[in-house]
Amino acid sequence: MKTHIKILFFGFLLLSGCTHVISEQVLSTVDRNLGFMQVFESPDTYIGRRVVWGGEIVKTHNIPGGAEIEIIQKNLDSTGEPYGGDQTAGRFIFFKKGYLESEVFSKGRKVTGAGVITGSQVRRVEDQEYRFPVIEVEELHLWEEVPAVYYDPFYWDPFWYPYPYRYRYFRRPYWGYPYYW
Amino acid sequence: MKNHFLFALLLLLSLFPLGCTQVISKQAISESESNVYFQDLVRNPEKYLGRKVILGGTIVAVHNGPQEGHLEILQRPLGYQYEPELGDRTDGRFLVMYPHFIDPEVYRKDRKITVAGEVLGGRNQPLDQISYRYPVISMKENYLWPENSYSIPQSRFSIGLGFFGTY
Repeated sequence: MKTHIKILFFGFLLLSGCTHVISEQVLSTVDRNLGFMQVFESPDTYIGRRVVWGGEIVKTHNIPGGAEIEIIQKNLDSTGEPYGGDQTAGRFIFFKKGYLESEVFSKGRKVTGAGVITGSQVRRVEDQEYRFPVIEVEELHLWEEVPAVYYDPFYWDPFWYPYPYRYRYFRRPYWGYPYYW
Repeated sequence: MKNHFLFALLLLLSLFPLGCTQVISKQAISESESNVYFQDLVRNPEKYLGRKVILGGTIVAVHNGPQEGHLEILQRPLGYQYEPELGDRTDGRFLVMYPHFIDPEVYRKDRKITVAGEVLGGRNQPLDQISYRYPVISMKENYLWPENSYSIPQSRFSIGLGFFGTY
């Protein structure tokens, strides 16, 4: 009896721990103290160092031998998910061997990847020369898109309202933004 | 007697609109080969030359020639009634040849489409900075899914205590 409770208890502890999307063995080789700003200032001095970075995709481009994702850097939470709204320290490039579907790795999607800093590339962004740190990724995670789904507030309502009432209630400012008429 | 007849008529009429919308004709469905998988088709289009298939996905681009046109489609797995499922699962892109003009304002990017046709082979086309090998199929029948719909509008017939409301 007691062992059962113990198993349950530790089982819950295990399950409730949030896991990072990057695997344990890759995470252990990564330099977590190396900040994005440092690398951004002088990428070439950090060649060979390993990092876990993430952010929002600007564009994905397939080139011979692999694919490049241009990313706007975002801070990562404990599971590795980019957050922080508009807060960013700059842009960087993930390079990955093989083909990446640009319609899936599309603009605005969030990615997190782990890999090696291989240097930097200067490219034009608008009218400016911009220096992108380049990371060759070994593990890449595309975060699921959360679709903006509008739920009918009457869905869980135990009563079905006849037509005029259903819509009259929607018009009340109480329901707020996604107006429905 | 007359009442009975009316009742029967009403019952029949109420059942009528329940019939499902036809996306692809029964004939095309029966002719198509469900054992041709897209993963294999992408790898070796020539092997499936002349085979009839039903594929679907979302529109990437429309290209119109002088008399004909073709669609570039990102393949998606098909669900109920051959509706492409949204999400990140895809096995690649393919081309669909039309014998006529394709209106880019109707066949807009990201719209869901289901196509029945015949495999015509493979074709290399530039994509970004690489050359991508597209399987090519002809268009025999197509169905452009209504925008912002997750499935075909169908009547939901239910009897209950109203615990789950009506949707």
